Amino acid sequence: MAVGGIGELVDATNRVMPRLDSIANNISNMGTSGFKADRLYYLKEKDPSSGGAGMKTTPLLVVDFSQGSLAATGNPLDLAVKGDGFFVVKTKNGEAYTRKGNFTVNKNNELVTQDGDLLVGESGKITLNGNNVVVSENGEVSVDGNRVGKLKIVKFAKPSLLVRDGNGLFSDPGGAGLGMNDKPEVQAGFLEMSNVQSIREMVEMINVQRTVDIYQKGIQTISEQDKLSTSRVGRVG
Amino acid sequence: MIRALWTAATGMSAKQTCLDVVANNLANLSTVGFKKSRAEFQDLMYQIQKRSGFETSSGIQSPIGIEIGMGSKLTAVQKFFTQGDYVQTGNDFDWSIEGDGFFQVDDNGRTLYTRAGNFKKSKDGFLVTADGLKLIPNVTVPEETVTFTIDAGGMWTALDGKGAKLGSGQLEIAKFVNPAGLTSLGHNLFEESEGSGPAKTGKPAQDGYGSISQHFLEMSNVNSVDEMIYMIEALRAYEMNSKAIQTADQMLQTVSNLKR
Repeated sequence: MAVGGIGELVDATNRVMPRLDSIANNISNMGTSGFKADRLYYLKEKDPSSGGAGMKTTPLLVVDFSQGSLAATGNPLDLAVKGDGFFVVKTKNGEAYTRKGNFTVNKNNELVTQDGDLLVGESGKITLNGNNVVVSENGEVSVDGNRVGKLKIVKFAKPSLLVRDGNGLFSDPGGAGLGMNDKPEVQAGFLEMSNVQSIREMVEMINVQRTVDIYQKGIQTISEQDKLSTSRVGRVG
Repeated sequence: MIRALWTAATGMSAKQTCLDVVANNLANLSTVGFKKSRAEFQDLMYQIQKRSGFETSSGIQSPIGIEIGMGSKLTAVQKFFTQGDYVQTGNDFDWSIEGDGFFQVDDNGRTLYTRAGNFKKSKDGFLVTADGLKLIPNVTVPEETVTFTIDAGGMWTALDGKGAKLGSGQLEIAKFVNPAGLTSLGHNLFEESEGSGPAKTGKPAQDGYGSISQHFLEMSNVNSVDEMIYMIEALRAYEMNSKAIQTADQMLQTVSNLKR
């Protein structure tokens, strides 16, 4: 029955719309350091409620954890992780993980994020009393030549399970497989830029728009057919 | 759909701030001791549509939730304390700091910090900034002074025409753990803040403090080519955000055209 076809196309249109939301968020964060782009996909799978014959679509949001390019800032408290790994930050909701390394100090000279959350080192917070802060490539922090701590860099077996909290923070609801990165590569004086690729976003945007156009044509065609069948079928002559 | 419109709008306003900062940098391309800034952004909160672990139709627990981001916002305008270019002026009271450190000046009992070393002699003989704030520790230049010198270590001497010493003293400069956290007050002045940490004063050319060069001025550290690139980047990103708004708009139009 043709009217059922309209229902499917309306469902499909409703599924495409959030893809533009995700694209808009990526484009909006093209200049956000440490930002990771995401992409919304739909999976077709068997629908058991239909007795195995029907198919169902399930949304799947995939965060792209690839490395963003590193930009030199010259600020000794700007840190970037090269390759796998996250900085550990203590927020009021527990530990969070971030790739955004534009750190600063608070009034107690402790290393914090721009929002004031403490950066966690291997032996607790890192306090910088002195002038000359040097962060080595393996994450050792020294002030005026004295070692004051080591950055805790963690990695995840399944980073796709991390939940994004905004402000560049990720948290682990459990199951992401937290582990230490024993050989981290930290670059001081650099910030990791957003990994959004503008061309990809533009192409996706065109794709989404054209898909909606096609669905609209489909809906119009079906309703046209319905109109014809209701007005012509049964007419004599 | 309406969400995409607002999300892209936050991106546009972020890029606008970016341009504001670039414009200020460019306006201070030739300001003595000026330090450039850069706008920093972060992603806004995520709207969770489905928590991870929700059950899919085939009974499998989906490992990943569906969170749709809401755009970006400004977090900080970060200052960059990289070295500016040096310009030789030949003026006895034009000093620059080569390396880390700030001159300390007194604003009615409050200590402020500056990299601009274009000092002047006030009518009562003190060395002051262009705005009349006295250097700390005070440097007094006696009236009969003919030669005034300051060495790399900050030791200053005033001599008269016959070479007799009229006065001398030691200049001290200040350093911060995180100079990027200083508050800009305009007039080339910075104020200590929680983010910068407390000032630590010391003699120039020692313990990591920069050394003093007399007859030189530190110019702005703004690089016009960099700023132009940032401007292009901000402009194009602004355009792309506006394209996202247009797309959302056209899609809404398509939907509304369903009913003819």
